[in-house]
Amino acid sequence: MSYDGGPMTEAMYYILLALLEPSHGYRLMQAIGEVSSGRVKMGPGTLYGALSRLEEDGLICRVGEKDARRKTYALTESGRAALEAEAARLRAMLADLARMEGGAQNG
Amino acid sequence: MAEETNRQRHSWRLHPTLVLEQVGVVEHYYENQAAKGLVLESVGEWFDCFVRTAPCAMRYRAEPVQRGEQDGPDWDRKQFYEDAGWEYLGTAGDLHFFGATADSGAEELHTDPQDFAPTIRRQRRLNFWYALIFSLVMLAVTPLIFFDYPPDPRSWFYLVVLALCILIMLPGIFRDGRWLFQKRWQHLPPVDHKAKIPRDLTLRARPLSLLLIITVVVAVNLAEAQIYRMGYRPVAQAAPGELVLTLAETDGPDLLDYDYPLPYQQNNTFRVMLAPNGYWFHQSEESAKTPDGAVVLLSIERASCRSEEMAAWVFDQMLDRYDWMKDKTTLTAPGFDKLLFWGGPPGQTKWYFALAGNQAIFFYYEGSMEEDALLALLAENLKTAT
Repeated sequence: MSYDGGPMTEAMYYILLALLEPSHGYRLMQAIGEVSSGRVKMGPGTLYGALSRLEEDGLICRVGEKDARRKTYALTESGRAALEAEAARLRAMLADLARMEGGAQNG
Repeated sequence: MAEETNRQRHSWRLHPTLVLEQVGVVEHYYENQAAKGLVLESVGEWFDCFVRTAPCAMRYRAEPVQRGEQDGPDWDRKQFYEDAGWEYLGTAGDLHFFGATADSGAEELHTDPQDFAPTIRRQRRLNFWYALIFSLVMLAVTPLIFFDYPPDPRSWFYLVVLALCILIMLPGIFRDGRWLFQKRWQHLPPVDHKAKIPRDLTLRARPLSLLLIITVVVAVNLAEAQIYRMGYRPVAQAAPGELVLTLAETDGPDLLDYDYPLPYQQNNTFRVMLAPNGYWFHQSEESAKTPDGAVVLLSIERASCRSEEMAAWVFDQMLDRYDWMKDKTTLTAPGFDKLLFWGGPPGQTKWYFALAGNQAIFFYYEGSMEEDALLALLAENLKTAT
């Protein structure tokens, strides 16, 4: 399913987040575990499929030599923008939650 | 089949084929084989190769093939999976297979069941459209059987076979259609890696289906030939009215049987059958020798129809069938609404197309009777024909 600019899946968000630094398959899988503090575990097959879809959507691209057998991925400008938009959305959601919780305590 | 190679004993088994949604069955099957001492070494389109070892615990995972990966995953993917603890074992059909020892700590290959969604959806859509189009083509073919001329007793058999084929495919069409309509690919259940293994998992793959196809093809051909043959009866056994005209009536009672080389072994035989679109079809072939040694021939196709309109339709079909007879001559004779003649001079075969009420007749005659007498006899017989 191609990305339409709406809310991201957790997997997609963490892949983009982990790709703030260019990375490849296995290293990327470990990076996702690290940036999510071990909360998100993504199987190699799931990650590989997600990378293909993100590349098709233009959110990530392959970097390094074209004919290199090891595929290293990095965020594209669109990918970075999508990640920032998602982060802003999440921040807004957290702010809404904090306001609601604050209101409930004051009331 | 077993072979001794580098002190390792290999064993080949038929590769089990299953639909993608039951992929867990195959994974479990390979694990069971390993537990019995057969460790999967490579997977092939037809055969899997196992190494005979001591029983051990293994894990196997299958993964749907993406577009352009029919020859196997690329180097990067293989390397990535290897880093995660999975060894690539081969590709068969729509699946790549990977294996790892149970205690290797290999990361679970797929953590999201939706990874399978695009491939399963594609397969379901293909199944659905192939079955639907095939059924529609078969339905479209049905009228051709109904309105084929001359009618053939096998037509009924073909209709039954077509109906059976459509009936067999209908449940699949409805099942796949409902699955696609309800967009079930969006909510796939996790793969059950310990799914129950059917006892006939490998048998029901290729040999059984191959055997079934061969049996059906042979049975259909045998049935077809038998149905075609069993309709014929000797002319001598015809009941009164079943034959509209016989050689004995035209060239006398002293004729001798003569084995004229006709195709399909229908010499001196006749058959009566109900055409699929509802008229009775009579067909007879006769050949004989006169006492002075001349060969006489008579061949008749006759349709007894429900109405004159249907008879006119059959008459047109007869003309179409023999349209290679150019420049037919129109004749008039008592008892016939329409009469066409094609043939050579006296003594040669005469071909007639006749329409009389609700009966359409095509016949050729090579005997001694004069045309007027022959047509008068035919018209008279048609009045009493059943």
